[in-house]
Amino acid sequence: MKMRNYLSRFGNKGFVLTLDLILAMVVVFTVLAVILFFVGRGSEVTLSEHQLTLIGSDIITLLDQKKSFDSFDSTEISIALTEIIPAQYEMLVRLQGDFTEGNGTIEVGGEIPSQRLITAGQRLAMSDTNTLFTITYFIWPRLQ
Amino acid sequence: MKSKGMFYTLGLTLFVLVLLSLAILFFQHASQVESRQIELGFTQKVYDVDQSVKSVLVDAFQSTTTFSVAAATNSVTISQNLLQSYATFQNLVQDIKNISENSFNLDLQSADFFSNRRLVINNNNNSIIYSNNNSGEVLISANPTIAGYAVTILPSAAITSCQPNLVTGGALNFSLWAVFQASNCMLSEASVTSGTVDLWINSKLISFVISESGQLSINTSASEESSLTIFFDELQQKPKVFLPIPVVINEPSFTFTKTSYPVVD
Repeated sequence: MKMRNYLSRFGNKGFVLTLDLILAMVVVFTVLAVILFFVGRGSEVTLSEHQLTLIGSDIITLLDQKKSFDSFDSTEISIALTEIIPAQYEMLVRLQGDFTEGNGTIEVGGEIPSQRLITAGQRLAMSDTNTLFTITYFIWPRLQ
Repeated sequence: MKSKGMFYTLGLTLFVLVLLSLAILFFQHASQVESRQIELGFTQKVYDVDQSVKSVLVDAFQSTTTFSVAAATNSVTISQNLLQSYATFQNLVQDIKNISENSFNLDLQSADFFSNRRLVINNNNNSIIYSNNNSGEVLISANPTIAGYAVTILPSAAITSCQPNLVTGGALNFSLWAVFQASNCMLSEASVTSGTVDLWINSKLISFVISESGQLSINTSASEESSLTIFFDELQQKPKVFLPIPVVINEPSFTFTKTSYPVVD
């Protein structure tokens, strides 16, 4: 008797309420998933960009320590750069200073792509003959 | 019926508030990620500039002067010509200063270095000044951590006279070693308080003076190669020798200023 009264009072509203609840949960969890996805992706982008800068800096430091820039010969520098750069990255290295080769500006490496993640850095260097020059480098992931 | 409507309105408001909070959280995080990206990029830029300028300064110092510095766990050895010229180094530092200040937000304060011509030896937060002025004087400032000095002179001519006048009874070790063919001047005292040693090479005097405070000064007009080892009491860390040329990096947009010095060894 009590059960019948209960059903007659609420009818099939329980079913609708349950559906409403499920729909609300689906919406909430979808929103949460989207947020978590973007939040995670943002952190990944930051770290990968920083990693890219670190790799670029390390490559330039290594080439500078090996005195690979001292010849100011773009072919020699290009060979040294190709030997050292990891396969999944591309780089453009620009040397600027008071040297005769290339009227004081030498560029070695790939062409900077558009609409890609590129990081850059700058260093000061000195050759064995005490010629001062700045090294500007750009690094980006190579298209697979 | 009325209370049910209120319940739904409240529920919906709560739901919208939750969504709004999440949206705010998301935007805050996005802006934080962006500023972190800028900060990380800036950090790397500062590191690159700072390290490379200091490295170039040290290379310039080593390639244009006769200085050679080697630090060990309880000693520092500085080799140099006693009449050290800084002219080439000074010109090169001016070029480094011009390029650095034009290319980076950097200030290279080298004026004091060239007027005082000093190296700073830092051990356990004690600073010992090694100065080499224009008038042919090498001076090592007194410091309680200094246990002794060992000087080697490589004479370019015969030693004509060697006159030690050392007062013993102190705690300082002092040794001098100079040999040219058959002539020599070799001393080793383990407990010096103060004193002088006059060494004559080809009618040019090299005068060593140890003061009671423990300061050592070498005065000469002789252009001789020398090697001076400063021994310290037991140290926890290897001492560092640096050029007192402050490399100041300024970045007004980050209200950031970094001052550091090139470390020779």
